[in-house]
Order: sequence, then structure tokens, then C-alpha cells
Amino acid sequence: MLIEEKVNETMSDSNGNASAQGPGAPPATGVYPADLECEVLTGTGATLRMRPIRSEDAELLVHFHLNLSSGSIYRRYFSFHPELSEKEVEHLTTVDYMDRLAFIVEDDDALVAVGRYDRIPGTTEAEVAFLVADEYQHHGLGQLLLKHLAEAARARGITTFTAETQADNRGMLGVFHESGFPVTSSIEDEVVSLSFPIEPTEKSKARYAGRRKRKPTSGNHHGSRA
Amino acid sequence: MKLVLNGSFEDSGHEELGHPERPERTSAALLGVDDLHLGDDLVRAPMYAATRAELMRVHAGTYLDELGAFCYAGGGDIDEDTYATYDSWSVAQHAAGAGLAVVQELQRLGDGVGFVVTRPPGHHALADRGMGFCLLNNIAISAAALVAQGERVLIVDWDVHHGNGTQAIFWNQPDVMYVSTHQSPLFPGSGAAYEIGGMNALGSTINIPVPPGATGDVVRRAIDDVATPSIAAFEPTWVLVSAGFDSHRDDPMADLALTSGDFAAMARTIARFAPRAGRFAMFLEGGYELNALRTSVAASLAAVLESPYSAEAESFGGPGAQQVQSAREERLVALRIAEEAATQGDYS
Repeated sequence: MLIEEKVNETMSDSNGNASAQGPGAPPATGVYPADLECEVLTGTGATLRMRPIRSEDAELLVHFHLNLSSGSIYRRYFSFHPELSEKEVEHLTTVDYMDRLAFIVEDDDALVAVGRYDRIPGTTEAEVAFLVADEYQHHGLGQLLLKHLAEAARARGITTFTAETQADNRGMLGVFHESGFPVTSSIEDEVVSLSFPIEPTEKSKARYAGRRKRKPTSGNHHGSRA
Repeated sequence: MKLVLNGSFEDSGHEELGHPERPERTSAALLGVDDLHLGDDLVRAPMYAATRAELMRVHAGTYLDELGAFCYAGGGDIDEDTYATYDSWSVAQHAAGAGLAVVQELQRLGDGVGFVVTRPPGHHALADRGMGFCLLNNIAISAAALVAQGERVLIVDWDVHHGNGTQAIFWNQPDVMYVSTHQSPLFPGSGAAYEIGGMNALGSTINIPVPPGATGDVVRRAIDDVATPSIAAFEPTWVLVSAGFDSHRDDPMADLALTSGDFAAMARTIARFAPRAGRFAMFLEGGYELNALRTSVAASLAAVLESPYSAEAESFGGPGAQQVQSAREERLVALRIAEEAATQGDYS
């Protein structure tokens, strides 16, 4: 409920522009894109909530990070990085929803996954990264985050995603290679660099069909296809 | 044609810091498969852990007990090359099972090509001992399962090292022909041309050692000139490859000079020894340079699947032609002596 209230708050903040946040409206820098909120269905059948990150999520993010295994942290940051600094938290939670956008996934009140893209300045490319709580790994959240990030990024003029992952991170490599996007990759020093256009393909559409549930407030959510 | 893929993909627990036989190898091999963009032609066989009975076609029960107990006690070093961890028993069981599942799926389809991404590798593993990074002899376990069904199995081992384990396991088994090309001298030291099989299986082991620096033309000629006539006479009903890609020129573990194009050419040649489609599978053995591994996997699979892939050019001009000729002669002499001895009843 708290979340719904906050959504409404944001919407009333930009009073008069409320329609600008509805589906189909053009995205605007710095405006929380409420239309990107949705419910998602994981591989295990659980319904989780996915929404763009907000600066108020700092505490959630810190808590999420503290509960990750060192292996998961290492895979994301390529170093052992047990705690996020205040500055990092601010950087990670404050996004402009245009060149930088992050989605969080919540199970009740717990943050269980984060995915983000950061545009490489002056280009139409953005780097993507994900972090999924240990007990939620292998449930398809990486795929869902990638799909939603790609959709949002496309609407914001981004054409290509890049990513780096350690060569032994089979889970992450699988997310990219099974996405249906035409991924190219290279290996150097045990790190795999990937790049792919995010234009939807027949394969990527098939990959995600039926996985998304729209948020209840947008109605008509049963059997909707992404 | 369909590719039936399987492997010990949950292999992250079988790892030792700094050891070259590492989980990244599986990723590199899978990237090689991805590079072929097979779409619906890629079939994943189910994850499967080999049963004790399936393992015991090849391994001693006492060894399986010891290995399992060693892993579950936390693992450690088995010898100066070979490690096991808590997870290794499960990973190795799934590696062995992956091969069995691929064979079964190929039989069900009656078509396709198999590729088994096995970690740890297997061809050095003996009936009663792991060595050379290997714990269970994956390819031997699949071959033994096929023999139990009445098949005649050809195993070609192009890993840079001699597969002493596979050779020893089938030394006296006339229904398995083992052919190895390998660098010599090199670990484990076995694999001389005069090692030709036991009394019940004379000639069913074929070793063709080649010197450091040998290029693809030399290794391909070894298969064509030395092994092919015997393979044709053996009439295999199934063909398995111990596909070690450490014979690639970029591999840090040895000094052969093969390219991805050479593996493609060899795969194409060897696959033709199978009597029909659905009876050919490659098992990953060595290969420690990730890009070489990736491109070689892609090239050799593309060759047998007849998929488009741009491999490196085949290599020529390295040393070894003389050694291949010597191996051929040495083998013939050994066969003659053994046959004479066999008729006199004193060969063992």
C-alpha cells in the first residue's frame, strides 16, 4: 500500500502531466516512469513486483546488498565489496530514468533483484548489469530484468546493450544467450564481453511471451502478452 | 542436423584456485555452441547422474567408494595435478551421466550429433584411480554402455595427451577400438606406437605419437594413413571422440600447432566412420585457452553438422611426417610379434 501511495504522490507531484506517465507517453528525463511498474511471474510461479528504482529505495538496496553471498557480489562487481558506501548507494538509487535506469524486483517488502542500464555518454549504447538475491537465482529474474530494461531503453533511444561478465558466470551468460537477442561476445582475461542490438526479434518475443503480468491498476492483465 | 548437447553444467563447485581445469572452460565451450546459432536444431539432453552400476562397467567399486568419501570429507589433492572438492563427486557423476544421456537421446532421435561438455575431463582416469585432472572416465563409461548393448565402438582421441585411462580400460576389449594422436614426449608418457592392445584385442589400440610443433597435416595424415585401414576393418557401429582442444596452437599446456580448421577437418573425417547419423558424439577432454577452446568447439561441431562457421585455416608444414611413418612401421612389427607370440601362447 505504501508503494501505491508513493506512486500516487509522484503522479500528483507532476500534476497536470499525469497523462505523461501513462502507457504510451514519451519518457522524460528525471520523471519517475510509473508506467514501467508491473508484476512479473517468475519461473517458479511466484508473482513479484517490478518497478523503477527511486532514491527512497536506498535502505532497501543497502539491506539487499548486505544479504548477498560474497560470490554474488564478486560476480557483479568483480571484487569483494561487502558494503556499499553512502555515495555508491546514492549513485545507484538516483537515476534520471533516461540515460540511467534501474529496475528493482520486490517480494513483499524485500528487494530481491536489481537490474540497470547506464548509457555510455554520447552513444546509443548502454551497459547492463544485474544482481539477484542468492535464493532467487535461477528463477528467471535475470531474463525478466533484461527484457524490461531493453523495452525501456528502446523507448529512450538506446539501440545496443553491452555487458561484461566473468567467464565462469554461467547463469549470467545464459541470460544473455537465451534472451533471443543476437548476442556477440569475446573472451579476454577470463572476462566475457557481450554486445547486442535490443531491437526485438521473433526469438526474443517468443522467449518472453506470457511472462509478464501488468500491474493490477492498469486492468485487463489476465493473459496479457509482452 | 540436430546437435544433442549435454554436460556437467552445474560444475562451479569443481574448482581449485589457479588450476587450469576450471569452470570457465565449460562457458567457453558453450559459447562455441552458441556461435553456431542452431536455434531449434539444438537439443538439450536431460541432466543425468550416472548410477553406480553404470560407473562400474568401467571403474572398480572400491575406487568409487574412496573417491566419493574423499570428496565428501572435503576433497583435496589426489596427486600433484588432480584435485577434488566436496562437489566433485556430484559434478563427475553428472559428467559421466551427461554422456549416457546424449547417447540415449541420439538413439531415440536416430539422428543428430552429440556433444558432451564434460568437466572434469575423463580420458586419463583409470579403472581404480583418478589422474591428470580426470576422476571418472566419461567416454569409457558411455562406450561401455554401448558395448553392453552389443555395439562396436570406435574412440578417437585427439587430445594433446595420450588417453592412458581409456586405453587401459579397453586394452583387452575387442569391441572397442581406441585411436590416439598425441604429442610425445608429454604427460602421461604412455601411448607408444607399439602399444596395440591385449591378447583378446590385438590391433584394437592404435597410438600415433607426434613431436612438438606438429601441424594439422601431420595429425590428419596419422589418422588417414595409420588408423583408417584398421578402423575400416573394425567396422564400428558407434563413433566417439575424446575431443581435447589442448592440441590447438594457442594452448598453454603443450606444443602442437593445430588450428580450429584442423579440428573441423578431423571431425568431418572421423564422423564418416559412423555407419549412419545419430551414432557420433564428441566428449570434451582438455583445452585450456578459452578462445581456442571456443573456436575449436564451434569449428568441429559446424563441420559435422554442416553448419556455416568460419574456422581458422588448416595448418601445414610442421615436423612429424617421419614419426608418423615410423609409428606405422613400429605398429606393424609389434602386431606381427604379438601375433606370433599369441600363437605360441606366451603373449599377455
